[in-house]
Amino acid sequence: MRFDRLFVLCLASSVLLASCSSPEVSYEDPERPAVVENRFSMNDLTTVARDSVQKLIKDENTEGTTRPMVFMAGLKNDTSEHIDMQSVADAIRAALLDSQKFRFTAGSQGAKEIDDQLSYQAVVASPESAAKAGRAIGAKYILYGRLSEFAQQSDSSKLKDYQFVINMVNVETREVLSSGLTRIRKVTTNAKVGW
Amino acid sequence: MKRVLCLLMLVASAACSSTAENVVTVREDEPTVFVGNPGLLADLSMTNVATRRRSDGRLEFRADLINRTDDDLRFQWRVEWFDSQGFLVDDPTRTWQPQVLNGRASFQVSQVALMRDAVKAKVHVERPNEIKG
Repeated sequence: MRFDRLFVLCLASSVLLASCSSPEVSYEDPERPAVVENRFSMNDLTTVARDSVQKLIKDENTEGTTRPMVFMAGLKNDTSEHIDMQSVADAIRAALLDSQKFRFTAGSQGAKEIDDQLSYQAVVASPESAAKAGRAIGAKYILYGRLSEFAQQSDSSKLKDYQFVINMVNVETREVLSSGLTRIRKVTTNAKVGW
Repeated sequence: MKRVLCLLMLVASAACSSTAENVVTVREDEPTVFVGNPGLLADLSMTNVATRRRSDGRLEFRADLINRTDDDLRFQWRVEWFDSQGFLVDDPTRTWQPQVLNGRASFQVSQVALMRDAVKAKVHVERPNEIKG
């Protein structure tokens, strides 16, 4: 009898613990900083994009031309983490387009789709409505950048510094017209008392 | 004893509920409006608030945030831009920016509106509320 009660008690406890430990999912503000782990986060991506865009719209080296065409040449990831640099590029491009200071020509992500569409229209669409090849507007400037990291670690803490640089270069003269730098530092401190 | 416990609970809940924001509204033709959480207001002051219209027509603002305490002060800030009719102007780069200020140090917040039709900036400052693991 005592064994039966003990068995029921253990079973009930297991069920209770299982129900208490089930994960909860909820929506959160995507602009709120997240420090779940010591890695490059969405908040860091937006910070880098914001600082870069602020630098590019404040800089007056490209003044005098009406919404010059820009090509986003690609952002390089020189960190040890897998970071989707295309997302960083997308955020910068979206913000600069909103500013109406620059125009952008489609990058490699859209190039294949454009070529496919041109080929398709050449065969299927009426001559007067078909998009014509060879009418793309050349880019006056290109944007490229690089994300790097510097890490330090001790028994009690881990420090990660990220540095992001973005450059705007004149295609013809190869002159660097604008260069923006963003630094982010994250520190992970190990708990002094734990299991 | 019960009264002391109730009082302690009230004080604790008031301290824990300090997620309310300090908000400064900066508009070209209106004086600044300062609405805030008394707790954060006591630690962080905002001064030298100014705006200017740049040569490209974009509104730029700046403000100095000063840590009134002797200790490090952690907070986060965010800027929202509004057009002349009060509509929020979209900004893909808007995000909460964590900041640490050493004791008695100051920090300048400055930003340029992405769009030329922005006429008002609302600067939100609050205590950190990061999502932790």
